[in-house]
Amino acid sequence: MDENDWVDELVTNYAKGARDEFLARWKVWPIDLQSPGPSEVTIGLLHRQYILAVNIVGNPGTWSIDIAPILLRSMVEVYIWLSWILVAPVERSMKFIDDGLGKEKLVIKHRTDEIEAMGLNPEDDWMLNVSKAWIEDHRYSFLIDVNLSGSWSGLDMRKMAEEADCRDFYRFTYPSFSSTVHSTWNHVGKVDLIPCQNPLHGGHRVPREEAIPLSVDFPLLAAKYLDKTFALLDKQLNLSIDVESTFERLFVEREEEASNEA
Amino acid sequence: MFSPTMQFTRQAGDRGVRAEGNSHMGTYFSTDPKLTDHKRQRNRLLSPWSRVNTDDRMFLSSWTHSRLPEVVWIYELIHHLGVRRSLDVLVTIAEAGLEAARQQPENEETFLYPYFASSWSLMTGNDVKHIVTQQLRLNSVAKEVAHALGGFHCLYPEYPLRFLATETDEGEDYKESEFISEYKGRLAQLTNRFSVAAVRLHSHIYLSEARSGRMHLPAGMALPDFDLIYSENPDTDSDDFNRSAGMVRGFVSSAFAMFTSRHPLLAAKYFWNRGLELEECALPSWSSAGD
Repeated sequence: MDENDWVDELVTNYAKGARDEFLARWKVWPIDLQSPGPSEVTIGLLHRQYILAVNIVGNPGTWSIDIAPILLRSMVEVYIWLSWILVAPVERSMKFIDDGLGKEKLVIKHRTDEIEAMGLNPEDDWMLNVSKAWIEDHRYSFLIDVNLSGSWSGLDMRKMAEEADCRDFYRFTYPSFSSTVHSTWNHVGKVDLIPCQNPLHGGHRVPREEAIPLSVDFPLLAAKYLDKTFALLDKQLNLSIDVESTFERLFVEREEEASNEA
Repeated sequence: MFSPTMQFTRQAGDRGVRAEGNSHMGTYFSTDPKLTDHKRQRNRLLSPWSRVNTDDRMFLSSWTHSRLPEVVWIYELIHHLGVRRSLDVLVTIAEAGLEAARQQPENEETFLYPYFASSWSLMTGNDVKHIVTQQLRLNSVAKEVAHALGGFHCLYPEYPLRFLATETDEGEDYKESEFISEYKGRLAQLTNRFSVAAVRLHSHIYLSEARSGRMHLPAGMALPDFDLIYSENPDTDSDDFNRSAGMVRGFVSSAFAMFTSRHPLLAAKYFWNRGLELEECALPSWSSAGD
C-alpha cells in the first residue's frame, strides 16, 4: 500500500474503527444512577477524546503544525483530567461539574449585561435560555458558586499530571502544544515567520507565504492519544473489551509493514 | 565588573558550533539545556547571568544588528587590500581620525572609537573630513581606501565614512548591480559572528589598537594566536582557534559597550534599513528554512 492509499484508508476507515471501540466501552460502562456524576463525566470526556481524534484523523487539513497542536493539547488535557479524576472519581467528578456550572453562570451574566447594553431584552435571547435551562437541570442556579480561578480542580495542569502519575506525558507534550494554543513567540517566531535570506537584510523574520506541508505524525498522535485513553479507562474501570485497536491496525501495523519493506 | 553589553561566548572546548555562514539555525546553545544552572525565584527561573547582574542599565547588543553594521567597512578593506595592507590602512585611518578629533576640542572626548562608523557621525565639521583625507594622502593610502570602499559606499551612500571613498582613480566607476552579488556573499558570512570572516574583522580592530599604542594588556595575559586566525584554512573547531576568536571578539564587544553607552548607533540603523531599499526580501521555501 503506497502512502496515498494509506492516507485514504485513514480518512475513510479510522472513524468507523474508533466508533466501534468507543461503543464497545459505552456498552459496558459502569453507571450508578443514584450518583451518575462520575460516569457522566468520565464517559463525556472519553467521548470528547474520541470526537477530537476522529476529527483530526479524518481531516487532513488539520495535519499541520499550525493547527494540530491546538487540538492535540485538548487531547492531552482530557487524558490528564481523566487520569486525575479516576484517582477519586466521586469527589473529583463533582468538582468538574460544579466548576462547569459556575462557568456557565458567568457566561450568562456577561451575555445578559451585553444584551441589556444593546437595549434588548435578555429574556428573548435563545442562547441564554438554553444555558439557564441547562444549569437548572442540574440544580437551582442560586446554589452554584462561580470559580474565578483558571483551574477547575484548584491545581495547575502540571500538578494534576504529577498527582495522576503522568508527569512525563505532560512534560513531553503539553508545554510545546500550549505555545500553538496561545500563539506565544515560540510558536509565532518559529512557524508564522521565517528568516529572510537576503544578507542585505540582517536576517529579519518575515511572514511565511508557503503553506506548511502536512504530516501524518499528527493523525498518528491523535489516534495514539485516544488509544492511550482507552487503555487508561480499561485498566482503571476494569473493562473487558474485545474489539481490535484501530490505532494498532492502521498505524502500528502499517509502520511495521513499511519497515519490513525497507 | 560586568560589561553593560551582554554577549554569550562559547566556552573553550565547547563543540556546539554553528555551521559556517548559518547565523540562524545552529547547534550552538549557550546554556545548559537542562537548566541545572538556573535558580527558581517565585514564578521565574533565573539564568546564571540574571542572578549576578542586578544592574537595570544592562541592555542586549546583537552582533548582527548593532556591531556588524558599525564595523563592516573594515572587512571591505580586508577583502580588497589583503590582510597585511588592510591593517596598515586601518591603522592610518584610525590615527587620522583621532588626530582630526584632537584638533576639534569639543569632540576630543567623544571620538575614541574610529572603528565604529557612528563615531564618524559625531564629527560633522568639514574640517575633520579634510584633515583625515589629507592624512590619508600624506600616507599615500587615499586611493587604496577609495578603491576598497568604493563599491560599498555606492550601495550605502549615506554611510558616515562615505567621504573616504571620494578619491577614486579616473575611470573607476562602481555599479550597484556588479558589486552587490559578491558583496552579499561576504555579508552573509559576517552575520555569523563565529565565522572566519567575522573573527578576522575583530582581530583587525584588536591589532590596530595594539599598533596605535592605545591598548593596555595586563602582565602575564596571553595574546590571541593571530597566525591561526589569519591562516589559510583555520580549524574553526579547534580550542586554540576558538580561544583566540573569543579574545578578539570580547575586546571589540567591550569597546563597543563603552561606545554605545554614550552614543546612538546611527550607522547601524541606516545600514540595515538601506538594505531594504536595495533589494526585496528573499523568502526561503519551508523545506529549506531549517537548513
